[in-house]
Amino acid sequence: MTLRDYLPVLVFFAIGLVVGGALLGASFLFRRKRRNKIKELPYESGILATGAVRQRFSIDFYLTAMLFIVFDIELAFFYPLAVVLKSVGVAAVVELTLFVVVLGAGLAYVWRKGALEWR
Amino acid sequence: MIQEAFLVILIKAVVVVFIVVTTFAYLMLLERKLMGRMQLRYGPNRTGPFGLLQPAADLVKMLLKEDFTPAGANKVLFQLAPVMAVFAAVGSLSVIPFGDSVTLWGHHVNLYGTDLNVGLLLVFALSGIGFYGLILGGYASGNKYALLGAARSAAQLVSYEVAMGLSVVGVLMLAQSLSLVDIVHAQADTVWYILLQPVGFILFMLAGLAETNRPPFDLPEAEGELVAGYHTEYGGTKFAGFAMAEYLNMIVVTSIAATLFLGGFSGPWLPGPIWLAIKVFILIVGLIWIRATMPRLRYDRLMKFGWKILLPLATLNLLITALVVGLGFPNK
Repeated sequence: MTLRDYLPVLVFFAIGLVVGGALLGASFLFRRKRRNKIKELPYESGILATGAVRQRFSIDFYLTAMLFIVFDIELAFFYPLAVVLKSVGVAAVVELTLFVVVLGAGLAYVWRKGALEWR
Repeated sequence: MIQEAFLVILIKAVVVVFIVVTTFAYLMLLERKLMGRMQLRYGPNRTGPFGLLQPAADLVKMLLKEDFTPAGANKVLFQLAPVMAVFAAVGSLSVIPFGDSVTLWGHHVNLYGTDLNVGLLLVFALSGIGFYGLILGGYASGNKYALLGAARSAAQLVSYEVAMGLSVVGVLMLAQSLSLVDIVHAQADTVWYILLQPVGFILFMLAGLAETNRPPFDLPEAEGELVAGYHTEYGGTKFAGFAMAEYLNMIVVTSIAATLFLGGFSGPWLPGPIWLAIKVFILIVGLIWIRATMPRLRYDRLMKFGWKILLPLATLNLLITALVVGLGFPNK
């Protein structure tokens, strides 16, 4: 496993950019362009747009984002532990159980506090 | 020597992307045909025999659409968003194993982009980057529906990402590797992991449905309330970019599911890529069937389902697997 093994990933990235760019480029070549003030209004079911576009979000979105960061980082800890679990044996199982207990306590706390309720 | 190796990689990558993009075009047709039949309609049948030229007709239509940017949009991000979505989806293809090594014209060729020891992690990371495409698209449109759709998809995707990540930990414990090729070989030596990890498979597929914005979890683009969600203002080839990213993600998720739980490319008689294609096809038909059957969830129930059912179940599954594997049963 050397850095060269990552070269194909870069090649795929490049092709992804080419495919995505080709989509934009193709429409640039073929498109018809008739500008029109009314046409460029944001779509709001046919009526004139009212109010500010970038409104404030419900607090639930922020809560979800914070929960995600916490749990996703814990998830990242699970992966290396899972790979070596069998070779390390009992010690790893004890550690993983403790970790899951802490995680579960956190989830129970968040649950009790009502952060998982969508209002 | 290095140039030759690079050439091989380039050819492989182009072939893989070409095949997958063609599959995407016909996947859309397959979905419309199957949905039509399930709803007692014919589905597209006018362009060519059995409607087989429909993808070409769609492409021409997409290309000739007027390509405009709405007045309130952030010009740069609006153009960039679909490219980003496609980029992440294509990038994930690099680690999917389509088959084992074969010898072609005297060259030793691996039928996968690369075999990384962090393969699965790369797929999850790229699916995280793919979200930015949707979120930027919704944010940059300068449209209320698009912004609401983007906020919803952000919350939904991150919620189900956690459950998805946890549901595969059991497989990692059994295979003792993050490399997708190793996981396939480990299954070929023992049994398909769907037999040892049935709960993990179901959780993965449910979370996968939500990750790819498929019904019944397609809240980000719920047309009854949000018009089209994050891509309300998109049309023409930029819309095609989003559609492509969505279907490529579907192919990636089902390929990963087939690789982790259904033995991937391993199977008797037929060559590896054919086996993978069969498994992926079955899973995708399942996804289309679910779309035709299930009504859409309400948003609060969707979030509740992710955090209160999938997450605890996945954690429990992980703990039980750890106890069984770590304490030496089954002995291999």
